[in-house]
Amino acid sequence: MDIDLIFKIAAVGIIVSILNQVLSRSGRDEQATMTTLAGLVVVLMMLAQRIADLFALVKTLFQF
Amino acid sequence: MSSFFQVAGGVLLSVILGLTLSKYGKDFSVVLILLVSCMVLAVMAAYLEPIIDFVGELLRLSELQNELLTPVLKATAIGIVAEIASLICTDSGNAALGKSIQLLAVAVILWLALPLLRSLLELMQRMLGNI
Repeated sequence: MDIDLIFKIAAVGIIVSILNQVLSRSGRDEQATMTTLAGLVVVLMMLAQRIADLFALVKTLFQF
Repeated sequence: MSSFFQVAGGVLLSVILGLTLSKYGKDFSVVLILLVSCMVLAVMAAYLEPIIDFVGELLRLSELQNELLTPVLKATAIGIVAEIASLICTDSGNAALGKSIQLLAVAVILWLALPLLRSLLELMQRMLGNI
């Protein structure tokens, strides 16, 4: 179990939420939204590979 | 066996991280839970491999066709994946999506079991024909 990836995603989430708060308070709501979206895309790209690996593993294991 | 305790610790840790993240934004919390579920399933697959090999060995000993085992294994895989996906959808507040995944899984499993049902029907017809 790759614990590092869990911490990485948690760190990205916390950083994005801090940036979101700072940008929102300074009146840059559009940039805050874009930052949140960018962070979410980065995290989803990390996740997509893992999901693909898992499905490949399940397909191999259960003889699909 | 020791990996079970490691995984249990990792899951508990990620629950706390998920709760912390959900205060700031629920998106990252859902992604984290999804990732941890994938990891736990990957660990589970490593333990399931010898069990599936053993089932195959039992099938060889009983001299049954391999076509009988394949739909059962596929149905098991679909059931596991559908259950996890459904629970993640429900946890993230999309119970309708979770239920639809479960219904899809039921339909696919029934479709997979069609050859078995057909062979059962043929067997019953042969048995009743002999009476």
